[in-house]
Amino acid sequence: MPVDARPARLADCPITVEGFSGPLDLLLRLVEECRLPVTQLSLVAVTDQFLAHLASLDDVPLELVADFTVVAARLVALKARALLPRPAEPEPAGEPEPDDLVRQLQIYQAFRDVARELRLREQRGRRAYARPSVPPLPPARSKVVALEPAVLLAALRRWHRRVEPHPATLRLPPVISLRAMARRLLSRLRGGARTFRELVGRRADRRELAAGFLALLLLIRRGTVQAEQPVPFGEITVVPRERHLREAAADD
Amino acid sequence: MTELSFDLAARLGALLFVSGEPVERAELLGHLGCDDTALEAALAELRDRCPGLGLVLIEHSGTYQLATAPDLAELIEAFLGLDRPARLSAAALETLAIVAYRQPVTRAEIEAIRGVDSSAALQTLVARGLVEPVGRLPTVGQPIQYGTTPQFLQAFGLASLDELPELPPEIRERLFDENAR
Repeated sequence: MPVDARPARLADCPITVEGFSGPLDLLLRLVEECRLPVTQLSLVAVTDQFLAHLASLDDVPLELVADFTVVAARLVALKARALLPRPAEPEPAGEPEPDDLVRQLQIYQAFRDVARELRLREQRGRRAYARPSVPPLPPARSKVVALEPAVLLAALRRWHRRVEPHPATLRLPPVISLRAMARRLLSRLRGGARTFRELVGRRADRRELAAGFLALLLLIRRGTVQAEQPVPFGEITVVPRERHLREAAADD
Repeated sequence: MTELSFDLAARLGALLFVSGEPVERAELLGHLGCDDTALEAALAELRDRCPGLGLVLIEHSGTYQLATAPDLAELIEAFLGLDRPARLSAAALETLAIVAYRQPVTRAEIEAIRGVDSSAALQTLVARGLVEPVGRLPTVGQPIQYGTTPQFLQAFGLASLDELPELPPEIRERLFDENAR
């Protein structure tokens, strides 16, 4: 069978494909729009439409594009084979195109038919309802054994020891309050402009640095000090604004 | 009246009625104290009696369950005040169809047929209780295999998987071919 048997009829097909779920679905719909059985249809003739559709896709998930590309590549291979000269030997008539894609389409079509049947059943809404399962019966009574009170008490203590949480001591370094840190900065600023490093102290640890920085932000917001940092991550120079400094000092 | 004044089908019906859940064949055999042939006859008899009670006998991979007749769905839903569940997407229905015929089936096998990523559809079906993991393929990576649930039969008003339409013979052949490969 010549591969391009029905290009004219295909070209006449109005192709309106929306909301397809995957390349095989799209391909099958293109085929079905022409009302031809999959085996009789030349997939070669659909290739251009398929490729055009692929080109019109934008904003599609990468995986989907990959799936489409696989199908497109197979279609193009099919078309290339059709364009090449064929060996002269006659082909048996009525043979379906021995191509994997046709096979795959047929299998997919069969399952889509079943899906359609399931959709009909879903629409008819003929559901069966089973009884909600019976709540389990209370467990059979457990045997009660007579025990001495002392034995029970010992058991209780053992249980208690097991479940009692072991106290753990956690030593935390003293926390400097924001307020205290702000005061420290201000007192060091009495002598005039200083760098941030000098203000918090050369030996300040991370916590003190963080508290110092927060305190600095606080003072800047209040308008007590001004700060300059000419380059990112560079030294910060803090300049007291005289009037405010006096007021702040008077507060103390 | 003693237990034995009820025939096997009646005793079977009583067990399935009180269970609600699907009951394994082996469990039925044990509790009814009968052999496979007798159980088979009792199941057939019970199946015949069900319509008279507005019920249906559901069979799913060696388990049995009593449920209300699918044609009584509207009555039951009004009585229980149930809402119709949301429609499944086309992708989910296709995936469900493939699982129903090819079970146990892996996600990769489903995707080979649909030609598109099917993980979201599969997740929907698992979340709706229509499909569940039933095992793992003993190959590299041990991929999960999926199968339908008794809930699937209930939701679509099927008494067993046999009520699904048959696949065209040439498709069955091809699927079989691909299994052999």
